[in-house]
Amino acid sequence: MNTGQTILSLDRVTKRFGGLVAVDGLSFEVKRGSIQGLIGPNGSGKSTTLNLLSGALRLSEGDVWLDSRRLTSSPAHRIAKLGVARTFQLVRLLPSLTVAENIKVGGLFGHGRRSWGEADRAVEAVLDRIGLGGKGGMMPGQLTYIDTKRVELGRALIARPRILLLDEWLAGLNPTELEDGIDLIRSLRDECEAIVIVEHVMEAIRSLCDSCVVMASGAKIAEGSVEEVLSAPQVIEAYLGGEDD
Amino acid sequence: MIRPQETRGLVIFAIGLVIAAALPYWGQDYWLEIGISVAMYTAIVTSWTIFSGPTHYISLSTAAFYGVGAYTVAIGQDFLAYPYLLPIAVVLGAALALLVGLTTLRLSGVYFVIFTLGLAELIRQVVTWSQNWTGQKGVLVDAYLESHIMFWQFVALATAVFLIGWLIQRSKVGFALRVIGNDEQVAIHSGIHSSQLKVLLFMVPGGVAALAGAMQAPQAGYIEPLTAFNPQLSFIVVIMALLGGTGRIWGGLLGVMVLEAIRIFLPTHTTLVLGLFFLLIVYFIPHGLVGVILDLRHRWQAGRG
Repeated sequence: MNTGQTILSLDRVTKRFGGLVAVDGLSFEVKRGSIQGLIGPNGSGKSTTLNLLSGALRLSEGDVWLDSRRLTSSPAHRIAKLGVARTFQLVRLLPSLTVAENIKVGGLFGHGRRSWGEADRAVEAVLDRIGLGGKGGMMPGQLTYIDTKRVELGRALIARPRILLLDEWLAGLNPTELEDGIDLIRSLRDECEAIVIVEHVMEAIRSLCDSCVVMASGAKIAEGSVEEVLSAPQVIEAYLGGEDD
Repeated sequence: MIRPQETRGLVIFAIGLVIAAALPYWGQDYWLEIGISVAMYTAIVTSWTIFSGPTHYISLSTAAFYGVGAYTVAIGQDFLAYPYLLPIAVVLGAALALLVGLTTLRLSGVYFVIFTLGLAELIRQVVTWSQNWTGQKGVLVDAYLESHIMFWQFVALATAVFLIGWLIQRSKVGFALRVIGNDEQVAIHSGIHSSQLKVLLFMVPGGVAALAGAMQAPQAGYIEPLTAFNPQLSFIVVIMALLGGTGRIWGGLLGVMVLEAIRIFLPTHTTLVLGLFFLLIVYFIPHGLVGVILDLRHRWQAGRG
Protein backbone atom coordinates (compact mmCIF):
# COMPACT_ATOMS: atom_id res chain seq x y z
CA MET A 1 0.00 0.00 0.00
CA ASN A 2 1.43 3.38 -0.96
CA THR A 3 0.91 5.27 2.24
CA GLY A 4 0.64 8.99 1.90
CA GLN A 5 -1.03 9.18 -1.50
CA THR A 6 -4.43 10.79 -1.67
CA ILE A 7 -7.22 8.27 -1.94
CA LEU A 8 -10.29 10.38 -1.27
CA SER A 9 -10.60 14.04 -2.06
CA LEU A 10 -13.34 16.58 -1.57
CA ASP A 11 -13.22 19.60 -3.81
CA ARG A 12 -15.35 22.61 -2.79
CA VAL A 13 -18.15 20.33 -1.69
CA THR A 14 -21.34 22.26 -1.03
CA LYS A 15 -24.78 21.18 0.12
CA ARG A 16 -27.78 23.48 0.34
CA PHE A 17 -31.17 22.64 1.78
CA GLY A 18 -33.33 25.42 0.41
CA GLY A 19 -31.73 28.59 1.78
CA LEU A 20 -29.65 26.77 4.38
CA VAL A 21 -26.06 25.99 3.48
CA ALA A 22 -25.24 22.84 5.45
CA VAL A 23 -21.83 22.28 3.88
CA ASP A 24 -20.07 25.27 2.39
CA GLY A 25 -17.23 24.79 -0.08
CA LEU A 26 -15.51 22.06 1.94
CA SER A 27 -12.20 20.76 0.56
CA PHE A 28 -9.83 18.25 2.08
CA GLU A 29 -7.93 15.13 1.20
CA VAL A 30 -7.70 11.76 2.86
CA LYS A 31 -4.36 9.97 2.62
CA ARG A 32 -4.00 6.28 1.98
CA GLY A 33 -3.38 4.33 5.17
CA SER A 34 -4.63 7.11 7.42
CA ILE A 35 -7.43 7.63 9.88
CA GLN A 36 -9.01 11.01 9.18
CA GLY A 37 -11.05 12.75 11.85
CA LEU A 38 -13.93 15.06 11.08
CA ILE A 39 -15.02 17.05 14.09
CA GLY A 40 -16.96 20.15 15.01
CA PRO A 41 -19.83 21.31 17.18
CA ASN A 42 -23.38 20.04 16.67
CA GLY A 43 -24.89 21.22 13.43
CA SER A 44 -21.53 22.00 11.84
CA GLY A 45 -22.19 19.73 8.85
CA LYS A 46 -20.10 16.64 9.69
CA SER A 47 -22.84 14.10 9.25
CA THR A 48 -24.09 15.86 6.14
CA THR A 49 -20.56 15.56 4.74
CA LEU A 50 -20.57 11.84 5.46
CA ASN A 51 -23.96 11.54 3.79
CA LEU A 52 -22.56 13.32 0.73
CA LEU A 53 -19.57 11.01 0.60
CA SER A 54 -21.72 7.88 0.82
CA GLY A 55 -24.27 9.14 -1.69
CA ALA A 56 -27.16 9.39 0.75
CA LEU A 57 -27.37 13.05 -0.27
CA ARG A 58 -26.54 14.70 -3.57
CA LEU A 59 -23.99 17.46 -3.77
CA SER A 60 -25.26 20.91 -4.69
CA GLU A 61 -21.80 21.87 -5.93
CA GLY A 62 -18.27 20.58 -5.93
CA ASP A 63 -16.76 17.16 -6.49
CA VAL A 64 -15.79 14.03 -4.64
CA TRP A 65 -13.05 11.78 -6.00
CA LEU A 66 -12.12 8.25 -5.01
CA ASP A 67 -8.66 7.87 -6.52
CA SER A 68 -9.21 9.00 -10.08
CA ARG A 69 -12.90 8.12 -10.05
CA ARG A 70 -15.47 10.89 -9.73
CA LEU A 71 -18.18 9.93 -7.23
CA THR A 72 -20.02 13.25 -7.38
CA SER A 73 -23.23 12.13 -9.07
CA SER A 74 -23.07 8.42 -8.37
CA PRO A 75 -26.03 6.85 -6.56
CA ALA A 76 -25.41 5.40 -3.11
CA HIS A 77 -25.53 1.75 -4.16
CA ARG A 78 -22.82 2.34 -6.76
CA ILE A 79 -20.63 4.21 -4.29
CA ALA A 80 -21.00 1.23 -1.93
CA LYS A 81 -19.96 -1.13 -4.71
CA LEU A 82 -16.92 1.03 -5.46
CA GLY A 83 -15.73 0.45 -1.93
CA VAL A 84 -17.11 3.16 0.34
CA ALA A 85 -18.80 1.52 3.33
CA ARG A 86 -20.46 3.32 6.19
CA THR A 87 -22.10 3.00 9.58
CA PHE A 88 -24.99 5.19 10.71
CA GLN A 89 -25.19 7.74 13.50
CA LEU A 90 -28.23 5.90 14.88
CA VAL A 91 -27.50 2.20 14.52
CA ARG A 92 -29.52 0.64 11.70
CA LEU A 93 -29.76 -3.10 11.94
CA LEU A 94 -32.25 -5.22 10.04
CA PRO A 95 -34.62 -6.35 12.82
CA SER A 96 -36.03 -9.49 11.21
CA LEU A 97 -32.65 -10.84 10.10
CA THR A 98 -30.15 -12.67 12.28
CA VAL A 99 -26.83 -11.10 13.25
CA ALA A 100 -25.07 -13.26 10.65
CA GLU A 101 -27.54 -12.24 7.94
CA ASN A 102 -27.16 -8.58 8.90
CA ILE A 103 -23.45 -8.85 8.20
CA LYS A 104 -23.89 -11.01 5.13
CA VAL A 105 -25.73 -8.20 3.33
CA GLY A 106 -22.50 -6.27 2.92
CA GLY A 107 -20.67 -9.36 1.71
CA LEU A 108 -23.21 -10.26 -0.95
CA PHE A 109 -23.85 -6.89 -2.51
CA GLY A 110 -21.09 -4.50 -1.48
CA HIS A 111 -17.59 -3.95 -2.78
CA GLY A 112 -15.80 -7.25 -3.44
CA ARG A 113 -19.11 -9.08 -3.89
CA ARG A 114 -19.05 -12.72 -2.95
CA SER A 115 -21.09 -15.76 -3.82
CA TRP A 116 -23.55 -17.13 -1.26
CA GLY A 117 -21.12 -19.73 0.11
CA GLU A 118 -18.15 -17.37 0.19
CA ALA A 119 -20.25 -14.79 2.01
CA ASP A 120 -21.24 -17.36 4.65
CA ARG A 121 -17.60 -18.18 5.30
CA ALA A 122 -16.65 -14.51 5.36
CA VAL A 123 -19.41 -13.83 7.92
CA GLU A 124 -17.85 -16.30 10.34
CA ALA A 125 -14.45 -14.66 9.98
CA VAL A 126 -15.92 -11.18 10.46
CA LEU A 127 -17.91 -12.25 13.53
CA ASP A 128 -14.69 -13.42 15.15
CA ARG A 129 -12.90 -10.31 14.00
CA ILE A 130 -15.34 -7.91 15.66
CA GLY A 131 -15.72 -9.95 18.83
CA LEU A 132 -19.11 -11.50 18.12
CA GLY A 133 -17.97 -15.09 17.59
CA GLY A 134 -20.83 -17.50 18.31
CA LYS A 135 -23.48 -14.78 18.22
CA GLY A 136 -24.34 -15.10 14.52
CA GLY A 137 -27.65 -16.81 15.20
CA MET A 138 -28.94 -14.12 17.57
CA MET A 139 -31.49 -11.49 16.57
CA PRO A 140 -30.51 -7.80 16.73
CA GLY A 141 -33.05 -7.20 19.51
CA GLN A 142 -31.14 -9.55 21.81
CA LEU A 143 -27.85 -7.66 21.58
CA THR A 144 -26.30 -5.10 23.89
CA TYR A 145 -25.81 -1.61 22.52
CA ILE A 146 -22.12 -1.99 21.74
CA ASP A 147 -22.79 -5.33 20.06
CA THR A 148 -25.34 -3.71 17.73
CA LYS A 149 -22.59 -1.27 16.82
CA ARG A 150 -20.22 -4.14 16.20
CA VAL A 151 -22.72 -5.76 13.84
CA GLU A 152 -23.01 -2.57 11.85
CA LEU A 153 -19.24 -2.35 11.67
CA GLY A 154 -19.14 -5.99 10.56
CA ARG A 155 -21.60 -5.26 7.76
CA ALA A 156 -19.25 -2.56 6.51
CA LEU A 157 -16.06 -4.60 6.99
CA ILE A 158 -17.20 -7.73 5.21
CA ALA A 159 -17.43 -5.70 2.01
CA ARG A 160 -13.64 -5.24 2.19
CA PRO A 161 -14.15 -1.50 1.82
CA ARG A 162 -11.53 0.86 0.47
CA ILE A 163 -12.90 3.68 2.60
CA LEU A 164 -14.70 3.15 5.87
CA LEU A 165 -16.95 5.97 7.07
CA LEU A 166 -17.81 5.85 10.77
CA ASP A 167 -20.54 8.22 11.92
CA GLU A 168 -20.16 8.65 15.69
CA TRP A 169 -19.53 4.97 16.08
CA LEU A 170 -18.20 5.46 19.62
CA ALA A 171 -21.04 7.66 20.88
CA GLY A 172 -23.00 6.37 23.84
CA LEU A 173 -20.49 3.76 24.98
CA ASN A 174 -19.48 3.42 28.62
CA PRO A 175 -15.77 3.90 29.53
CA THR A 176 -14.83 0.21 29.24
CA GLU A 177 -16.71 -0.23 25.99
CA LEU A 178 -15.10 2.94 24.70
CA GLU A 179 -11.64 1.53 25.29
CA ASP A 180 -12.58 -1.70 23.48
CA GLY A 181 -14.16 0.30 20.68
CA ILE A 182 -11.09 2.47 20.17
CA ASP A 183 -8.86 -0.61 20.09
CA LEU A 184 -11.16 -2.25 17.56
CA ILE A 185 -11.12 0.73 15.22
CA ARG A 186 -7.38 1.08 15.52
CA SER A 187 -7.00 -2.53 14.52
CA LEU A 188 -8.97 -1.90 11.32
CA ARG A 189 -6.34 0.44 9.93
CA ASP A 190 -4.78 -2.32 7.86
CA GLU A 191 -8.09 -3.67 6.55
CA CYS A 192 -9.11 -0.70 4.48
CA GLU A 193 -7.25 1.96 2.61
CA ALA A 194 -8.49 4.78 4.82
CA ILE A 195 -10.97 5.48 7.59
CA VAL A 196 -12.96 8.68 8.04
CA ILE A 197 -14.36 9.22 11.52
CA VAL A 198 -17.00 11.70 12.54
CA GLU A 199 -16.82 11.82 16.29
CA HIS A 200 -17.53 13.87 19.40
CA VAL A 201 -15.45 11.73 21.73
CA MET A 202 -12.19 13.69 21.90
CA GLU A 203 -10.34 10.85 23.58
CA ALA A 204 -10.98 8.73 20.51
CA ILE A 205 -9.99 11.46 18.09
CA ARG A 206 -6.74 12.01 19.99
CA SER A 207 -5.75 8.40 20.09
CA LEU A 208 -6.90 7.37 16.63
CA CYS A 209 -6.63 10.13 14.09
CA ASP A 210 -3.56 10.97 12.01
CA SER A 211 -5.10 14.21 10.91
CA CYS A 212 -8.24 16.10 11.55
CA VAL A 213 -10.59 18.55 9.87
CA VAL A 214 -12.64 20.86 12.06
CA MET A 215 -15.95 22.17 10.74
CA ALA A 216 -18.16 24.99 11.98
CA SER A 217 -21.32 26.21 10.26
CA GLY A 218 -20.66 23.99 7.28
CA ALA A 219 -17.16 25.24 6.55
CA LYS A 220 -13.69 24.01 7.37
CA ILE A 221 -12.10 26.16 10.08
CA ALA A 222 -8.96 24.16 10.77
CA GLU A 223 -6.99 21.22 9.44
CA GLY A 224 -3.87 19.40 10.56
CA SER A 225 -2.70 17.07 13.28
CA VAL A 226 -5.09 16.60 16.18
CA GLU A 227 -2.95 18.58 18.64
CA GLU A 228 -2.58 21.45 16.18
CA VAL A 229 -6.25 21.83 15.43
CA LEU A 230 -7.43 21.46 19.01
CA SER A 231 -5.21 24.29 20.16
CA ALA A 232 -6.17 26.60 17.32
CA PRO A 233 -7.99 29.70 18.64
CA GLN A 234 -10.80 29.53 16.05
CA VAL A 235 -11.52 25.91 17.04
CA ILE A 236 -11.69 26.74 20.74
CA GLU A 237 -14.02 29.61 19.94
CA ALA A 238 -16.25 27.41 17.76
CA TYR A 239 -16.59 24.83 20.50
CA LEU A 240 -17.20 27.34 23.29
CA GLY A 241 -19.64 29.24 21.11
CA GLY A 242 -21.24 25.96 20.17
CA GLU A 243 -22.49 25.44 23.69
CA ASP A 244 -24.99 28.23 23.29
CA ASP A 245 -26.66 26.46 20.33
CA MET B 1 -28.61 -27.23 -5.16
CA ILE B 2 -31.57 -28.34 -3.06
CA ARG B 3 -31.08 -28.38 0.69
CA PRO B 4 -32.38 -31.33 2.77
CA GLN B 5 -35.05 -29.27 4.55
CA GLU B 6 -36.31 -28.06 1.18
CA THR B 7 -36.74 -31.61 -0.13
CA ARG B 8 -39.52 -32.28 2.35
CA GLY B 9 -41.34 -29.12 1.29
CA LEU B 10 -41.01 -30.04 -2.37
CA VAL B 11 -42.34 -33.55 -1.73
CA ILE B 12 -45.36 -32.22 0.17
CA PHE B 13 -45.89 -29.72 -2.63
CA ALA B 14 -45.75 -32.45 -5.30
CA ILE B 15 -48.23 -34.69 -3.43
CA GLY B 16 -50.61 -31.76 -2.92
CA LEU B 17 -50.30 -30.87 -6.58
CA VAL B 18 -51.15 -34.40 -7.73
CA ILE B 19 -54.21 -34.55 -5.45
CA ALA B 20 -55.34 -31.10 -6.61
CA ALA B 21 -54.79 -31.87 -10.28
CA ALA B 22 -56.89 -35.01 -9.94
CA LEU B 23 -59.89 -32.99 -8.70
CA PRO B 24 -61.79 -33.28 -12.03
CA TYR B 25 -61.77 -37.07 -11.58
CA TRP B 26 -63.08 -37.22 -8.05
CA GLY B 27 -64.90 -33.92 -7.45
CA GLN B 28 -68.33 -32.83 -8.60
CA ASP B 29 -68.77 -29.83 -10.89
CA TYR B 30 -69.54 -27.68 -7.88
CA TRP B 31 -66.17 -28.49 -6.35
CA LEU B 32 -64.47 -27.94 -9.68
CA GLU B 33 -65.86 -24.40 -9.79
CA ILE B 34 -64.46 -23.79 -6.32
CA GLY B 35 -61.19 -25.41 -7.37
CA ILE B 36 -60.89 -22.98 -10.27
CA SER B 37 -61.42 -20.06 -7.93
CA VAL B 38 -58.93 -21.37 -5.35
CA ALA B 39 -56.26 -22.06 -7.97
CA MET B 40 -56.72 -18.66 -9.61
CA TYR B 41 -56.61 -16.72 -6.34
CA THR B 42 -53.65 -18.77 -5.13
CA ALA B 43 -51.69 -17.81 -8.24
CA ILE B 44 -52.58 -14.12 -7.90
CA VAL B 45 -52.10 -13.92 -4.12
CA THR B 46 -48.80 -15.82 -4.18
CA SER B 47 -47.43 -13.57 -6.92
CA TRP B 48 -48.57 -10.56 -4.90
CA THR B 49 -46.69 -11.97 -1.91
CA ILE B 50 -43.49 -12.45 -3.90
CA PHE B 51 -43.18 -8.69 -4.23
CA SER B 52 -45.21 -7.15 -1.42
CA GLY B 53 -44.32 -9.72 1.26
CA PRO B 54 -40.64 -8.94 1.71
CA THR B 55 -40.73 -5.29 0.61
CA HIS B 56 -43.91 -4.31 2.53
CA TYR B 57 -45.08 -2.26 -0.44
CA ILE B 58 -48.85 -2.80 -0.38
CA SER B 59 -49.99 -2.89 -3.98
CA LEU B 60 -53.68 -2.31 -4.77
CA SER B 61 -53.28 -2.57 -8.51
CA THR B 62 -54.21 -6.24 -8.95
CA ALA B 63 -57.52 -5.26 -10.54
CA ALA B 64 -55.70 -3.09 -13.08
CA PHE B 65 -53.48 -5.96 -14.22
CA TYR B 66 -56.32 -8.47 -14.14
CA GLY B 67 -58.52 -6.18 -16.21
CA VAL B 68 -55.77 -5.60 -18.75
CA GLY B 69 -55.53 -9.37 -19.13
CA ALA B 70 -59.28 -9.77 -19.56
CA TYR B 71 -59.38 -7.02 -22.15
CA THR B 72 -56.40 -8.51 -23.98
CA VAL B 73 -58.69 -11.45 -24.74
CA ALA B 74 -61.78 -9.31 -25.33
CA ILE B 75 -60.07 -7.09 -27.89
CA GLY B 76 -57.47 -9.53 -29.19
CA GLN B 77 -59.87 -12.37 -30.01
CA ASP B 78 -60.78 -10.70 -33.31
CA PHE B 79 -57.17 -11.05 -34.42
CA LEU B 80 -55.64 -14.06 -32.70
CA ALA B 81 -56.73 -17.38 -31.23
CA TYR B 82 -57.17 -17.54 -27.44
CA PRO B 83 -53.95 -19.45 -26.59
CA TYR B 84 -51.81 -16.86 -28.39
CA LEU B 85 -53.41 -14.06 -26.39
CA LEU B 86 -52.20 -15.45 -23.06
CA PRO B 87 -48.49 -14.57 -23.48
CA ILE B 88 -49.52 -11.18 -24.81
CA ALA B 89 -51.51 -10.61 -21.62
CA VAL B 90 -48.43 -11.45 -19.56
CA VAL B 91 -46.32 -8.97 -21.50
CA LEU B 92 -48.93 -6.21 -21.26
CA GLY B 93 -49.44 -6.80 -17.52
CA ALA B 94 -45.71 -6.81 -16.88
CA ALA B 95 -45.26 -3.71 -19.04
CA LEU B 96 -47.96 -1.87 -17.10
CA ALA B 97 -46.25 -2.93 -13.86
CA LEU B 98 -42.96 -1.63 -15.23
CA LEU B 99 -44.58 1.71 -16.00
CA VAL B 100 -46.19 1.93 -12.56
CA GLY B 101 -42.97 0.82 -10.94
CA LEU B 102 -40.85 3.40 -12.70
CA THR B 103 -43.20 6.21 -11.72
CA THR B 104 -44.09 5.19 -8.17
CA LEU B 105 -41.59 2.83 -6.61
CA ARG B 106 -39.22 5.67 -5.93
CA LEU B 107 -41.96 6.94 -3.69
CA SER B 108 -42.48 5.02 -0.55
CA GLY B 109 -45.30 3.93 1.68
CA VAL B 110 -48.67 5.51 1.33
CA TYR B 111 -48.01 7.21 -2.02
CA PHE B 112 -47.43 3.85 -3.63
CA VAL B 113 -50.63 2.40 -2.14
CA ILE B 114 -52.79 5.29 -3.29
CA PHE B 115 -51.28 5.37 -6.76
CA THR B 116 -51.82 1.67 -7.34
CA LEU B 117 -55.43 1.97 -6.19
CA GLY B 118 -56.00 4.95 -8.46
CA LEU B 119 -54.43 3.18 -11.40
CA ALA B 120 -57.11 0.48 -11.64
CA GLU B 121 -59.81 3.12 -11.43
CA LEU B 122 -58.10 5.27 -14.06
CA ILE B 123 -57.84 2.42 -16.54
CA ARG B 124 -61.42 1.38 -15.89
CA GLN B 125 -62.62 4.92 -16.59
CA VAL B 126 -60.59 5.08 -19.79
CA VAL B 127 -62.01 1.77 -21.00
CA THR B 128 -65.56 2.80 -20.07
CA TRP B 129 -65.09 6.09 -21.84
CA SER B 130 -63.71 4.48 -25.00
CA GLN B 131 -66.54 1.95 -25.01
CA ASN B 132 -69.15 4.67 -24.69
CA TRP B 133 -67.47 6.34 -27.59
CA THR B 134 -67.70 3.19 -29.72
CA GLY B 135 -71.22 2.51 -28.44
CA GLN B 136 -70.32 -0.78 -26.74
CA LYS B 137 -71.08 -1.77 -23.15
CA GLY B 138 -69.03 -4.93 -22.99
CA VAL B 139 -67.50 -7.64 -25.14
CA LEU B 140 -68.63 -11.25 -25.56
CA VAL B 141 -65.80 -13.77 -25.37
CA ASP B 142 -65.90 -16.36 -28.14
CA ALA B 143 -63.41 -18.81 -26.67
CA TYR B 144 -64.88 -21.61 -24.62
CA LEU B 145 -63.03 -23.98 -22.32
CA GLU B 146 -64.31 -27.04 -20.47
CA SER B 147 -64.26 -26.53 -16.71
CA HIS B 148 -61.58 -29.12 -16.12
CA ILE B 149 -59.31 -27.53 -18.74
CA MET B 150 -59.90 -24.16 -17.09
CA PHE B 151 -59.05 -25.72 -13.74
CA TRP B 152 -55.82 -27.34 -14.95
CA GLN B 153 -54.84 -24.09 -16.58
CA PHE B 154 -55.02 -22.30 -13.24
CA VAL B 155 -53.35 -25.14 -11.34
CA ALA B 156 -50.46 -24.93 -13.80
CA LEU B 157 -50.29 -21.16 -13.31
CA ALA B 158 -50.36 -21.48 -9.51
CA THR B 159 -47.63 -24.14 -9.69
CA ALA B 160 -45.46 -21.94 -11.88
CA VAL B 161 -45.92 -19.01 -9.47
CA PHE B 162 -45.00 -21.21 -6.52
CA LEU B 163 -41.82 -22.34 -8.22
CA ILE B 164 -40.89 -18.80 -9.27
CA GLY B 165 -41.55 -17.59 -5.73
CA TRP B 166 -39.51 -20.40 -4.23
CA LEU B 167 -36.59 -19.77 -6.57
CA ILE B 168 -36.65 -16.04 -5.84
CA GLN B 169 -36.97 -16.54 -2.10
CA ARG B 170 -33.86 -18.72 -1.88
CA SER B 171 -31.78 -16.51 -4.19
CA LYS B 172 -29.70 -13.40 -3.63
CA VAL B 173 -32.60 -11.44 -5.09
CA GLY B 174 -34.96 -12.76 -2.42
CA PHE B 175 -32.45 -11.87 0.27
CA ALA B 176 -32.05 -8.38 -1.18
CA LEU B 177 -35.84 -7.92 -1.10
CA ARG B 178 -35.92 -8.84 2.58
CA VAL B 179 -33.17 -6.30 3.26
CA ILE B 180 -35.15 -3.63 1.41
CA GLY B 181 -38.24 -4.48 3.45
CA ASN B 182 -36.27 -4.16 6.68
CA ASP B 183 -34.47 -0.92 5.90
CA GLU B 184 -34.15 0.46 2.42
CA GLN B 185 -31.37 2.89 3.39
CA VAL B 186 -29.23 0.04 4.64
CA ALA B 187 -29.96 -1.88 1.45
CA ILE B 188 -28.82 1.00 -0.74
CA HIS B 189 -25.69 1.67 1.29
CA SER B 190 -24.82 -2.00 1.17
CA GLY B 191 -24.75 -1.92 -2.62
CA ILE B 192 -28.28 -3.07 -3.50
CA HIS B 193 -29.79 -1.29 -6.50
CA SER B 194 -33.08 -1.04 -4.68
CA SER B 195 -35.20 0.89 -7.18
CA GLN B 196 -34.24 -1.32 -10.12
CA LEU B 197 -34.86 -4.50 -8.17
CA LYS B 198 -38.27 -3.34 -6.97
CA VAL B 199 -39.38 -2.39 -10.45
CA LEU B 200 -38.29 -5.73 -11.91
CA LEU B 201 -39.92 -7.76 -9.15
CA PHE B 202 -43.14 -5.77 -9.38
CA MET B 203 -43.49 -7.09 -12.93
CA VAL B 204 -44.10 -10.59 -11.53
CA PRO B 205 -47.49 -9.87 -9.90
CA GLY B 206 -48.31 -7.62 -12.88
CA GLY B 207 -47.75 -10.39 -15.41
CA VAL B 208 -49.42 -13.08 -13.31
CA ALA B 209 -52.59 -11.10 -12.55
CA ALA B 210 -52.93 -10.14 -16.22
CA LEU B 211 -52.51 -13.76 -17.25
CA ALA B 212 -55.14 -14.80 -14.71
CA GLY B 213 -57.52 -12.20 -16.11
CA ALA B 214 -56.93 -13.48 -19.63
CA MET B 215 -57.31 -17.12 -18.60
CA GLN B 216 -60.51 -16.39 -16.77
CA ALA B 217 -62.08 -14.49 -19.69
CA PRO B 218 -63.73 -17.54 -21.36
CA GLN B 219 -65.37 -18.45 -18.06
CA ALA B 220 -66.59 -14.90 -17.51
CA GLY B 221 -67.98 -14.98 -21.05
CA TYR B 222 -68.74 -11.29 -21.06
CA ILE B 223 -66.10 -8.65 -20.33
CA GLU B 224 -67.14 -5.22 -19.11
CA PRO B 225 -65.15 -2.57 -17.26
CA LEU B 226 -66.85 -2.90 -13.89
CA THR B 227 -66.23 -6.63 -13.55
CA ALA B 228 -62.85 -6.72 -15.28
CA PHE B 229 -61.42 -3.87 -13.17
CA ASN B 230 -63.35 -4.63 -9.99
CA PRO B 231 -61.48 -2.85 -7.16
CA GLN B 232 -62.72 -5.48 -4.72
CA LEU B 233 -60.28 -7.91 -6.31
CA SER B 234 -57.33 -5.73 -5.28
CA PHE B 235 -58.49 -5.62 -1.67
CA ILE B 236 -59.43 -9.27 -1.40
CA VAL B 237 -55.97 -10.26 -2.62
CA VAL B 238 -54.38 -8.18 0.13
CA ILE B 239 -56.68 -9.68 2.78
CA MET B 240 -55.99 -13.21 1.58
CA ALA B 241 -52.25 -12.60 1.56
CA LEU B 242 -52.16 -11.01 5.01
CA LEU B 243 -54.53 -13.59 6.50
CA GLY B 244 -52.36 -16.41 5.21
CA GLY B 245 -49.16 -14.63 6.12
CA THR B 246 -46.42 -13.41 3.84
CA GLY B 247 -43.53 -15.03 5.68
CA ARG B 248 -43.80 -18.28 3.72
CA ILE B 249 -44.61 -18.98 0.11
CA TRP B 250 -47.56 -21.22 1.07
CA GLY B 251 -49.19 -18.49 3.18
CA GLY B 252 -51.26 -17.26 0.25
CA LEU B 253 -52.81 -20.67 -0.30
CA LEU B 254 -53.97 -20.79 3.34
CA GLY B 255 -55.52 -17.35 3.11
CA VAL B 256 -57.29 -18.23 -0.13
CA MET B 257 -58.74 -21.42 1.31
CA VAL B 258 -60.06 -19.72 4.44
CA LEU B 259 -61.72 -16.93 2.45
CA GLU B 260 -63.18 -19.41 -0.04
CA ALA B 261 -64.62 -21.34 2.89
CA ILE B 262 -66.22 -18.15 4.18
CA ARG B 263 -67.71 -17.51 0.76
CA ILE B 264 -69.11 -21.03 0.63
CA PHE B 265 -70.52 -21.22 4.13
CA LEU B 266 -71.52 -17.58 4.66
CA PRO B 267 -72.40 -16.39 1.15
CA THR B 268 -74.63 -13.56 2.35
CA HIS B 269 -72.27 -12.27 5.03
CA THR B 270 -68.99 -12.48 3.15
CA THR B 271 -68.23 -8.76 3.18
CA LEU B 272 -69.02 -8.41 6.87
CA VAL B 273 -66.83 -11.36 7.78
CA LEU B 274 -64.05 -10.02 5.55
CA GLY B 275 -64.09 -6.76 7.47
CA LEU B 276 -63.95 -8.57 10.80
CA PHE B 277 -61.12 -10.75 9.56
CA PHE B 278 -59.14 -7.74 8.55
CA LEU B 279 -59.43 -6.27 12.05
CA LEU B 280 -58.55 -9.60 13.61
CA ILE B 281 -55.45 -10.00 11.46
CA VAL B 282 -54.18 -6.55 12.28
CA TYR B 283 -54.76 -6.95 16.02
CA PHE B 284 -54.02 -10.58 16.73
CA ILE B 285 -52.08 -12.29 13.98
CA PRO B 286 -49.89 -9.71 12.25
CA HIS B 287 -47.87 -12.55 10.70
CA GLY B 288 -50.97 -14.36 9.47
CA LEU B 289 -51.78 -18.05 9.74
CA VAL B 290 -48.21 -18.83 8.71
CA GLY B 291 -47.02 -17.05 11.85
CA VAL B 292 -49.48 -18.96 14.02
CA ILE B 293 -48.45 -22.32 12.52
CA LEU B 294 -44.73 -21.64 12.78
CA ASP B 295 -45.20 -20.49 16.36
CA LEU B 296 -47.12 -23.67 17.27
CA ARG B 297 -44.53 -25.85 15.57
CA HIS B 298 -41.77 -24.01 17.39
CA ARG B 299 -43.47 -24.59 20.75
CA TRP B 300 -44.15 -28.22 19.93
CA GLN B 301 -40.52 -28.80 19.04
CA ALA B 302 -39.38 -26.93 22.15
CA GLY B 303 -41.74 -29.08 24.24
CA ARG B 304 -40.31 -32.26 22.78
CA GLY B 305 -36.72 -31.13 23.06
